[in-house]
Amino acid sequence: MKILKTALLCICSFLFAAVASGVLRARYGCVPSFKSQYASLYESNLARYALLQANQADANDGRAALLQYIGFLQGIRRQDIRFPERRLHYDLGLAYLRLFRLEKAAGDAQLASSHMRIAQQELTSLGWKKEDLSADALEKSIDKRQAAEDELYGSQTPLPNPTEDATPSKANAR
Amino acid sequence: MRMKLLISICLSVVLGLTTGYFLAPIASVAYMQSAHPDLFGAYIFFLADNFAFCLRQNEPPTKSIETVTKSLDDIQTWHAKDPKNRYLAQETGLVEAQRARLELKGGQTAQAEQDIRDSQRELTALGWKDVTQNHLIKVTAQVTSEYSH
Repeated sequence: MKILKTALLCICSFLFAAVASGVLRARYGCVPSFKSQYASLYESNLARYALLQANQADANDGRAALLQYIGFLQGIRRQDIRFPERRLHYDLGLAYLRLFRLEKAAGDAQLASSHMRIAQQELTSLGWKKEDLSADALEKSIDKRQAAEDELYGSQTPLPNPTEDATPSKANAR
Repeated sequence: MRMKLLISICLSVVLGLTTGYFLAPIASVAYMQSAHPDLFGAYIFFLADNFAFCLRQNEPPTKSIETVTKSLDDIQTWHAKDPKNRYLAQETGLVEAQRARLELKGGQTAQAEQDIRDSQRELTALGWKDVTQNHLIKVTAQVTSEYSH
């Protein structure tokens, strides 16, 4: 009977310790780390999806993709997922600038300027100079970037030989 | 007797702590899979995307096509589970176009045409304005180039 009691006590101690240690490590170590890694991967996937939709699809589909991407980035912030803060500000700023361009082209000046304000707020956190953060400067900058992306992904440029890879470029998919 | 009991319990606790510590990552993956399926899927998509677009230099087209086909199968499996996922729809269309590009490179014109048609169907549904063969090939070539540099 005593041996049985001892065994039971040992099993309970083992289980309690295992659960406690497992939960603590998972809660404060593994899950935040996995969330951070997966969020980083998903962010790069969604960034390309949004970029291509904004460049290749019609305005509504482009807008939907950008909003999905922005929603994901805001989710990272809301859920306090470990993610480089500067990258988050930059990605959000850029996504809002793309939305600004889209709404401006659609003729919704009020919505466009609201997107511009959010983009400015995000980019201010990066320590950019005041003159670079003016609406005019940012508009020029996003126009320039869009022109470069159009050249890389758009159909205006000469078509490549299918047997060759595209010309390497410094511009990346994001 | 008391000493023996104390030692047994201490050993059980140490063993329990160690077991829990090493089982935590497995439990965390299971948790992520059930609680955050989109984030968990990102890892799989990231791998599939890398295999599809990050091709080895000087690899024969047939080998590249095999790799891309495997990635496409994985993406299509996930897409079948979540048909409304537009990100997966775009990924499917792009990887189909990528396979077509490689098939053209390897002289497999008939298969390439079929893949381009599939790709056009996916991307048209996503609102893409230009889904001509040459344009899709240009886009996938560019994406491949982004991965290579």
